[in-house]
Amino acid sequence: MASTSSKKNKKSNEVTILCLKVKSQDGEELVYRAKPNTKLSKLKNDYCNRYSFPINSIAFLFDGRRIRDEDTPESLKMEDGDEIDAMIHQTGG
Amino acid sequence: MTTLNPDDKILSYGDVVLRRSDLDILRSPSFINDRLIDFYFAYLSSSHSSAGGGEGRLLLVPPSISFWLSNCPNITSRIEAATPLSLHDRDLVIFTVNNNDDVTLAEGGTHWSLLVYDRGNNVFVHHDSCNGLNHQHARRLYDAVKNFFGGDPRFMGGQTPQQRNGYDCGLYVMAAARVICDWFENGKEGGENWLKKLDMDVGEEAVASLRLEVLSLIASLGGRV
Repeated sequence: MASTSSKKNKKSNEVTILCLKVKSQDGEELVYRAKPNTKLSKLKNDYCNRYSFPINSIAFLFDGRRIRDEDTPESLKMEDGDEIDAMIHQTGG
Repeated sequence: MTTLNPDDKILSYGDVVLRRSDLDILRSPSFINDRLIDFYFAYLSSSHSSAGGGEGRLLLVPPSISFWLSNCPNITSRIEAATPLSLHDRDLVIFTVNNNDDVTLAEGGTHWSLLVYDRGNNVFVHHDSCNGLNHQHARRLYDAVKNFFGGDPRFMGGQTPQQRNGYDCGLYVMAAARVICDWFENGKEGGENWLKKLDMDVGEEAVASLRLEVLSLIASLGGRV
C-alpha cells in the first residue's frame, strides 16, 4: 500500500499509539488506544459489544463526518487525544 | 453462508452504507431510518450543483449530525460538530428533526420532520407532516444551531402536506427536501419561498411512489437490490 510514510522518523521506529476518546451523547467517554492503521470499525464493534448495542446501530462521527468502516486514524489524519462522537441511529414514521 | 443476511452490504455511497435491512424498510410500510435519509440527502447533494460537494451555498445535513447538534452534551462538542459545516457561509441548510429523547436508545424515535434555514428570509422553517408533533424538538435544534448562522434568524412553522398514515413521515421529509433543493437550484423558482411548490409537489401519491423510486435509485447506483 502506498502510504506516505512519515519522512522523519526521528526517534527509532517504534509504532505510535494514539489515544482516541469515544464520547456518547450523554457525555460518557471511553478511551481507546489504537495504531494509526487500525480500522476504526474495530473500535466501533468493541464499543457496541461493550454497551450491548446491536452492531450497525451506532455511527461514529469525526469532524462532522460519518466515519466509514474502512477508515483508520491515519486516513482521517487523527491526532493523539482526538474525539469521536458515538451516535445512535434514529427512526421514525 | 446465507445470502439473505440483513446485515449484508448492499451499497456504499459516500459515507453511507446501506444494508439489506434498509431495503426491507423500503419494501414494506415501515418507519424510515436515518441511514436511508442520509443516503437520499447524499444523493440530493450530488445531483444539485449548488450543494457543490458539501461546500456550496446549499447544505443537507446528515440526520446523525442534526441529531448530535441537537443532543450533544455540551457547547464545546456542539461547536466542534458545527464548525466543519461552515453554516455561516450557507444560504439554505436542511436539517432533520427526530423526536427521540433517550439518547442511549438505539433505533429510537417515532417521528421525523424537516427544519430548513433560509438566509434570504432570515428564518428557520419547520415542516412537520404530522400536525406539529415535533414542534418542541424542532425548537430545540433551532436553539442549538441558530447562533452559527448570524443575523438572529427567527423560527416559524411552515405549511406542510400532511401524512395520512403512521409510517411515511421519513418519506415526507425526503420528498420535501427534494422540492426545496430544486426550488433553490432553479433560482428560487416561483417565489420568495418554496411553500407553494411544496404544496403542489408533495402529497400522498408522490410519497407513495417514493419508496420504489429510492429502491430503483439504489439499484441504478450499483446496489445489489
